This record gives sequence, C-alpha cells and structure tokens, in this order.
Amino acid sequence: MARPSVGYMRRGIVPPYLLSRIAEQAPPTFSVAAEAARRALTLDAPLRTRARLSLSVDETDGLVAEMLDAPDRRIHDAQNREELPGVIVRREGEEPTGDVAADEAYDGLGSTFALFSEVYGRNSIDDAGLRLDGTVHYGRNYDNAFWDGGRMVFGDGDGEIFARFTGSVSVIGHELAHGVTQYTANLVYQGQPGALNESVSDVFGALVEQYLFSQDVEQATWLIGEGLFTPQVEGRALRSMSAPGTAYDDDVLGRDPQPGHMRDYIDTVDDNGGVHLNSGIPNRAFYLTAVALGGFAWERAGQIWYDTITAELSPTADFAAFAAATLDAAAQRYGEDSEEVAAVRGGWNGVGIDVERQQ
Amino acid sequence: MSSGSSDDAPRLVLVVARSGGFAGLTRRWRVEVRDEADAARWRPLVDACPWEASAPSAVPDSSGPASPGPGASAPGASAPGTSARDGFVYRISLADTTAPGARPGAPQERTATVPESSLDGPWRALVERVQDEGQAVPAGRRGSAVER
Repeated sequence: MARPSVGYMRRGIVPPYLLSRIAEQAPPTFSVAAEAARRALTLDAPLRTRARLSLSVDETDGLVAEMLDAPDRRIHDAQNREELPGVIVRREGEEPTGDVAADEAYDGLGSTFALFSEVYGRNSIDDAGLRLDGTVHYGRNYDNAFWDGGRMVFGDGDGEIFARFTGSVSVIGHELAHGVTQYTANLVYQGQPGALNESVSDVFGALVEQYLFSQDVEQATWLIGEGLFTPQVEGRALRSMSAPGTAYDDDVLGRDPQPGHMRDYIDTVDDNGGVHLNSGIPNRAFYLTAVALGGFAWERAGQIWYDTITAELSPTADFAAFAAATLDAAAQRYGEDSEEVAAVRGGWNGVGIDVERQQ
Repeated sequence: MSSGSSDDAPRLVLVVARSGGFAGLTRRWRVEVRDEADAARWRPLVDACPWEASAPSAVPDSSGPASPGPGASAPGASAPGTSARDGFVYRISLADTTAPGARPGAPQERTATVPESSLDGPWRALVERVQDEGQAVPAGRRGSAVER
C-alpha cells in the first residue's frame, strides 16, 4: 500500500481561493480532490481540523490532488510537577525541541493519528479532528502514563525500575486509544468491560507500532511497553499479547500476573477489578485471530475490532458480549461464511470463550 | 492499664496498596505505630480523612457519564476522575487497637479506595506519609504481583 509521503502542513498553506477553484472547477477526474476541497471550505469556524495536501500522478498522467486529514498536536512539559497541562513546548508543525520525551510524544501521537486516519478513516480521537494534547515530564520519578479524559500524560519513570513512558510507541498508542474508546464504545472502567477497555487500548497500541514499522503478524513483537523497564529488571515489556503472563519475571517486581485464558480469570478488588490483568484474555483472543488471518494485523483483525467499538456495543459489555459483537462485525464486513468469521470464533475459543452470533 | 504484651502490639497499622496504572503492578507500603506519642501524631491526619465517603462500596463506578458524543465540547469537559484511564488506585487500610470498642487483637478496621484523580487533601497527606515513613512491601518472586 502506498502511503502519502507529504509532510504535515498548516491549514492556511492552501489558500481558500485555491480550494474554491478546486471545488468548483475541477474536472470529473479530480472528483476526490474537489470533494475534499469542498469539505475543507465548509468546516465550521473556528476551524478545529487540519488537513494536508497530497499531490500525485495517476496512471493516465493526471494530477491527483487530495486533502487528507492531519493531526493537530500540542505537547506540554509539566516540569516535574503534578500539574496539568504544564508549559507548551511544541505545536503542530514546529521543529523538534531536542527534549527526547517531548519529541517522542509528538512523533508517537503522529504515528497513532496515522493508523486511525489512513487505515480506518478516523480523523483523530473524536473523528472530527480533535487536537491531540500530551504532557511529558509529569511529576517526579513518576512511574505511569495515563489518559485523563482529555490529554495523554507521561511520567519520566523512577530510573530504577521504569524508564520514561514515551519510550514505546505502543504506550502512546494505548493512551490515545483510550480517547477513541471514550468517544465510541465508552466501555465502563470496571471488571470485564474495564478489561475490554484496556484490551482495546493494547490492541491499537500494538497496531500503531506494527503499522509504523510495517510488521506482519510474524514479525510483530506483540509486546506492550517494550523498553519501559530499565536494564536492571528481568523483563522484556509490561505485557505480552501473544503469551500473557510471560512479559517479566523479576526478583523485585514478581512475575507478570496476566491470565491468557478464562480458567485463570482473576477476581480482585484492586485495579478497578483487575482491568490491567484480565485484559490478557481478550488480548490473546485478538492475537489468535490476527495470526489465523496472517499478513498485517491492522488490515482485517484490526478492522473487525475497530468496527466492533464503533458499532452499537453496550458500555457494560462483558467478554462474551464483546466476542459476539466481533463476530457480528466480521460477518457484516466479510460475510457469514468468511475465513474472518472463522478466525474470530477460533480466537475466542482459544481463550475459553464460546461465541455465537447474536444477530 | 496496658499490659506488657499489648505494648508490643502496634496501636495503629496503616497499609497503602497502589494498584492499577498503565503497568498494572500493585505496590504496598506499611506502617506500624507502637508508641503512643507516635500514634498521637498520626491520629489527627487519620481522623481528617473521609473514610465513610471513600469506603469501597461508596466509590462510584469510575466509568461515569463520559460519553462525549457528537457535539461534545472541549477535551477534558468530562469531569476528572470519571474518564481517567490508567490512573493509580489507592486502597488505604487502617487497623486501630485504640479506637472506642477496639482492643489489642481486635482492632477497629477501616478501608478506603481513592482513585489518584481524587487523591488530595488529607488522603494525599496520609498516603505520602505512609510512603515516606513506612516500609515498602516487596511483591517478590515468590508471590505474584497481585492478590488473588
């Protein structure tokens, strides 16, 4: 698949008169460009979205001009305080700051935007060009990254167990995906729907990384947060989607507690009912589905999961209801008797969940 | 009034368990207060915390109404705490042998659950003091990182 290679540009670079001419006078062969230009001209003020212009030549030597969605990123620096948002250090289109965390956050948000926009046609978190806000250097020795409902926040880590949380693009994708879930399925952050909320973030966090590095299902690590641990920790990552429970085994931290099958489901009051633990079960169901289909996981398995969270799904869906919804999504897009439906069913069966279509 | 044996038993035991977070690792800190002068120093802070309002059953479902559909305004319009994801969750446990009706071996027990986004005022002061003055309880290789 050819990817648009133009850099991001500010909206104002394409002057309105040019957009008007494209919109009104473009010949029929430029219909995509004309439609995009019309869309760009009719956006509500104040303009929330950005666009980028892609120029290419088609097989008949015709010029193809396309307006593509583009991210609008804003990175803040909390300067080691636990106060948000902090001071702004980089806006969309500005040069790298030289601060590793700020630039990793900026680039990671761009990679995440690219997956959702280029693969699933989603324009940012809300599908309406919402600005992507991130804050780095939050707190002192702060061992976490989180989504606060409006922005992604990254700590530097303590330097002994955790390094900085912007170091893995899967973490940045995970946090942004929490925003996408908030605007779509809005899964309740408790118990099974909470573990699904976590799993959806891991799925798209992993896919951001795979899409960025063009990895197929065999090349992908299926790890979440690779490189977040310091070298002193015996562990590769925080979670493994292919083999939950094997990401780390360390003297100080203990062993990765994630289950990968319903028979090992953890009942606990901590962690909102184990949302970061039992997410291993749907994580592995996605992995099994993707491996059964082969190729690039974002193309079919990822599409089915994206269709599932953007369709009618109850915010209180448990694993069985979510599994049934993925089967419905696969059947609707690929057909009842498709290999995709079989792969999805096999994926859930592999973690101990029998699934039949609800519709 | 106090026998020798009860002097050995801690008057207050405070345990902070921090779960959740992106990593899903649970960390614990524990303080045992044996000395009455020490207990007198801890008690005002312990009593200032709204234990009843933060009892595990009283904590509202953290999902909240955050459903900013089409037309939702600015990011962050959802109330903090209702749509925070990957935040830490603090469980604070107190065993108090000096409370009314309690005695050594049968302490009054209280538990609170406080999400990071609500950790302010006396809760924050109490948690930070337990972390500063208490012992970290290692998860270790023998135990898993979570209580089953």
